[in-house]
Amino acid sequence: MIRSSALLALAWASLAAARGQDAPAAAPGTTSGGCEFHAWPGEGLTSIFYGLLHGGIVNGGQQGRRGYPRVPPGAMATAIQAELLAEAQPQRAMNHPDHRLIVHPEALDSRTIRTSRGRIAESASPCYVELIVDDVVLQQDFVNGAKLRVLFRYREFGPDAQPRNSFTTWADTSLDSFPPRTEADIPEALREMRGAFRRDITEFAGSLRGPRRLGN
Amino acid sequence: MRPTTRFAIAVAACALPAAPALAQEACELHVWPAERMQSMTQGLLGGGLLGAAMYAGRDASNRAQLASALDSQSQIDALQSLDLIQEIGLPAGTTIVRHEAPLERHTMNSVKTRRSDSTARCYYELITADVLYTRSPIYGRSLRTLFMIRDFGDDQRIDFEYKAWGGNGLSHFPPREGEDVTVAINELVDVFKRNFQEYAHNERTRRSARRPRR
Repeated sequence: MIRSSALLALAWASLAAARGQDAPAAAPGTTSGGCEFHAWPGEGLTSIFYGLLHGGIVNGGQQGRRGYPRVPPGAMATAIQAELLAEAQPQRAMNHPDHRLIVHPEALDSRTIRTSRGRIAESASPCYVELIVDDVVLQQDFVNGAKLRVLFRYREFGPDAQPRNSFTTWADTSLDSFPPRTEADIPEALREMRGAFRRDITEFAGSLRGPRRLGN
Repeated sequence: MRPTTRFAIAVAACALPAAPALAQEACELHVWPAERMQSMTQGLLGGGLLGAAMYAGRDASNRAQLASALDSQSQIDALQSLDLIQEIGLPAGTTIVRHEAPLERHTMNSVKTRRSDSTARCYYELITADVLYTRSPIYGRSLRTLFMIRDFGDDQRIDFEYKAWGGNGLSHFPPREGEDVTVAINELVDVFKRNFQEYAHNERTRRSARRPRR
C-alpha cells in the first residue's frame, strides 16, 4: 500500500538522478523576433475509475476513496509534464522545426484555456504557435484496464492576433503498471506513465499532421 | 466573490439596518460542482452487466471527457454565466459564493445542515450532484444533470429543498477518435446550462406552489 508522498518524491528524485536530468529550462517568452512555439503543461493528473462496485468520482484514487485504486500523489505533476514537453521538442513533430520552443513552467487554468481567443503569451512574434496540455486523465475501468489520456490544444497564429489554425483532440496510451500496486512497483509505474505521455504527444502530432476531421 | 467584497456588503448591511433592500443583500447562495461523472451506453441488447462490459471502453472514455469538459471551474463558470439568482427566484442582491472543491457525493442526502460556516440570515445552497451521459437505441444521446437546492432561511434547518434532474439531447458528443473535440466540449457546457435552466424552471414552479396564497 502506498502511504506517503515522500516516497514518491524520493522515487522521482532517484529517477531524475539516474537519467542525469534537470528541470526543463523554462522561459516564459516576451520576445519579439524569431518564431516561437509556446507549450504549457497541464495541472497535474486527473483520475477517473469505474469498477464493478464503485466508480465515477473524479480523483477518487487521489483522495483515498473506498473502492478506488490509489493514485500516487504528484504523479504527472505540472513540473514533470513541463520537463517531458521540453524533452519531446514537440515543435519538430508538428512541422515547426525552426521555431524556438518555450516551455512555460505553470499550467493555465481551464477558464483561460477555454475563453482565450488571442495569444496567451505576451509575444509579438510574427510566427507564433501554442500547444496547451488541457487535461491529463488516468482513465481506468474494470474491463479495459488503464489508459493515460491527454487533451491537447494547438493554435497557430502566424503574424496575426487571432489563430489561423487550431486543433483540439485527445491522445491516449494504454498502461500496464499504473497505478502501482506496491511500493516496489512505483519506479516502473512512473517510468511507464512518462513514456505514455511522450507517446501521447507523438500521437497528437500525427493527428495534427493527418487529414483533419472536424467535430460531427 | 472575494471575501473583501462580501465583507463590504455585510458592513453596508449592518450600517443601514433600516433599509430593507440592503437587508436582502445579506442573502447568500453557495454553489458546489459535481464530483461524479457517469456514462451509460445501451445497445440493442439492453443494459445489465453484459451491456456494461460491452460498452465499458466507450463509457470510460466518455467519463474522462466529461471530467475534462465539465471540471469544477467550468461547471461553476457555466452556472454563473446565467442569471442564477433570477433563474432560481432568489431575492435580488443575493451574493453568490463559489466552492470549487466538490462535496462528497455520498453525503449529499445525509448532511442536513449548512455545508459552509456562513451565518448569513438568508442562506441557500445549490449543489450539482451528478453528471450523467446516456445513450440508448431509442432515445439517442443525452446529458442529464442532478441538481439540489436548499433554503435554510436564518438557521440550520432546511425550510425548502428541491432535487431533480435536468436533461437535454446531444448532437456532437461523444466525438469520434482523432477528430477536433472543440464542438463536443462546447456542446457539453451548453447542455449543462440548459439542464440547469430546465431544473430551475421546475424549482420556481415548485417553490411558488408551496407559498401560501393571500
